[in-house]
Order: sequence, then structure tokens, then C-alpha cells
Amino acid sequence: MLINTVLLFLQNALPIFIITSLLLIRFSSETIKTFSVKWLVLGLLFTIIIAFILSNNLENISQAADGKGIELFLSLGLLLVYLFSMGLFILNSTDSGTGYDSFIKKQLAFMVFIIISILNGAHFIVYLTNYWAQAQQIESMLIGIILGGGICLSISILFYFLLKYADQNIHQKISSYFLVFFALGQLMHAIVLLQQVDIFSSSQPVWNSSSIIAENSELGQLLTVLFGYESTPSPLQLIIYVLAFIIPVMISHFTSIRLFICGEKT
Amino acid sequence: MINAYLCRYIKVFFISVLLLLSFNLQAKRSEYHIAIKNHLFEPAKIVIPANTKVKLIIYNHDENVEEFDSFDLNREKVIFPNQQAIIFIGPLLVGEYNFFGEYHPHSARGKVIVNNIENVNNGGTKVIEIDKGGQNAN
Repeated sequence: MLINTVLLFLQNALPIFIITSLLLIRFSSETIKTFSVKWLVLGLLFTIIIAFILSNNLENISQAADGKGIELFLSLGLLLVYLFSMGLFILNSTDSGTGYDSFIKKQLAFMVFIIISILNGAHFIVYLTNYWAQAQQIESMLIGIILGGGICLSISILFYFLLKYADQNIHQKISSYFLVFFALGQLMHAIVLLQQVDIFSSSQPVWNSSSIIAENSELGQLLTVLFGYESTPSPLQLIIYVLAFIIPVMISHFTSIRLFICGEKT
Repeated sequence: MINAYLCRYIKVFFISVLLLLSFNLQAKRSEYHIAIKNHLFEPAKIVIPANTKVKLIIYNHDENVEEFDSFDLNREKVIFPNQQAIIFIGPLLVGEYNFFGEYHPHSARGKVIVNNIENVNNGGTKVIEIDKGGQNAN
């Protein structure tokens, strides 16, 4: 029970902590004013309320669209996370320094954080209410949440300072690329969900690296959140991963060059 | 100018997704039924043919939520009390693929065994072998 709660907490909360670190580092490394405390508190309250509403309605959603409701709903949410993150990445790379760009970036970052938190939070609330209803080992559950929270917080703080160091000393765009890989991970999850309900075709995996890094190991979980690691990727997943990486990188690269030529960026 | 590039990128992405959706035609799949009772999977083992996509229908007869989870099959789905869930698996290579109930991982455990079994075509339904004396899973 204790270990299970820790694992489930890690699985659901780690993406929220990692995206918080990634977004904070992007805003702290730029001259953009971060969100005000009022907006942060309101945003957090809104996220918690929506996560509770969603968790109460997951049962109805699961029966929608011939039992494909949850997969369709989650994959749409994850697809939006990918799109908003890529929008953020492109704007970060091509920032002309206008106030309008900063406004758009804040909105995109806010949406990414809210969607990730709501989707993962709702899933964890279902687990918590399920155990709460059974009134079994509540003490173990609470300890599990505290331990899981501590691990997530430690990883995200370490991640934040490592990326900050890398941005300042190795290359200023490293954290931007980490945001791309994080979003690709969310996109891979969406593809698996759509393959699960036979909307996307699935075929035999291209390789099986589970003997090297198992997906259910701690390292596997971390790599899944950071890069969308799959030990048995299908050809479709691999093609989409490569394309979904190359297209925004190329767009940001060419836009950046064009803006430089046009004199809008120095 | 940046917004124009952003719009172009979003258009390209949505067209790609629509193209991908059109690739997978919905075909009739063989069905395999699993029940969750008292936090146990029944049957705990199912045998499916190699290189074939199949449809798993999982009924949760318990009064608690359960989550079908499998790292081997790369599948994860929450199943609410007294409801059923549908998951498609495969095509798979010959071997054993473990699955478990994420909310009761110690009791709810099972495996999908992929064999080169002979599928007997019996009036449009496929007969499969399962661990308890070769019952018909359909």
C-alpha cells in the first residue's frame, strides 16, 4: 500500500513538478515578469476544482464513444499540451521582445501547467477516493503521499538547478529543448492511448530495450516523463516522435533566421 | 510574423493528425473477455495468437475502481465498478506479457500468453485456449 501510493504519486505528480521547473526556468532566465501571486493562487484553486470535477465525471467519460471516452479525452488534452509547449518553444526561439509575445508566452505556459495538473491530478484523486472509501490503511496512504511528494520536490529542485547551470554554462537553449522533449513524452502517451482503443494502428515494436532500462523502474519512469521513453516503441510512435521534434525545431530555426534578416531580431 | 509561423505550424500538425486517423480502418477483431472479481483477474491467463491484434473486454465486478496496467503490453486503463473497458492489444510476438491491477497489484495479476495457436473458425467466432481446461473465452 505504502509503496503503491509512492509509485502512483510519482507517476502522476512527477510530470507536474517537472513542467513547473521547466516553465519557471524559462521565465526566470528571461526578462519577463513572472505571474503575480494573485494569479498563481487563483490558477492553483481553479486547477484543483477542475481536477475534482473531472475525477467525479471520469466514469461517465469512460463510457462515452463506445468506451473510448477517456482515451479520446486524455489524448486531446495531451495533444494540446504538446501544441502549446511547441508554441512556447517557437516563441522562445524567435522572441522579438515585444509585450504581446510575452503575453502569449504567459498564456501558453499557464495552459500547459493547468492541463498537465488537471489530467494527472484527476487520475490521482480517483485512486485516493477509492482507498478513502475502503477506509483501509489511510496512514500508509498519507505517508506514501508525503514520501512521493518529497521525492518529486527533490527531483524537480535538482532538475531546476541543473538546467539553470546548463543554460548559463553550456548552451542557453538547453531548457527549451528539454521542454520539447517533455512535450514529446506527452504526445507519445497520447499515441499509446489512441493505439489502445484502435484509433491509431499498432504494430510490433521496432526494438525492445526493457532489459536495459525497464519502463517500470525508477529510471524508466523518470526517462518516460523527461523524454517520453518507450522500451518497446512501435514504428508509428517512432515516426511521429522524430517528425514532432523536427518540425517545430525547423520552424523556430527558419523563423529566427528570417527575423534576423528582416532586422526584427538582433 | 511570428504568429503567422505559429498558425502555419498548427495547421501542418492538425492535417498530419487527420491523415494518421484516416490510416487505421476499424476492422473486426477477435474478442477475449476477462473479469475482475475480489481483486483477481478471471481468467488470470489468456492465450492469443501471435501477430494478431485482439480486443480485450474487461469487466469489473468489484465495488472498487481498478486499473488494468501492463508495462509489457504498454496498456493502462481505469475500470470503474460494475463497468467494462475495452483495450486492443497486439500484434505481438510469441511470449508472455504480464498485466496487473494497479490499485491491487499484489492480488490482481495475470498474463497474456502469445502462441502460434490454431484458431478454429467456429461460426464467425474464434475459439481460444485458456488456463482452465480450454474454455471458450468468447
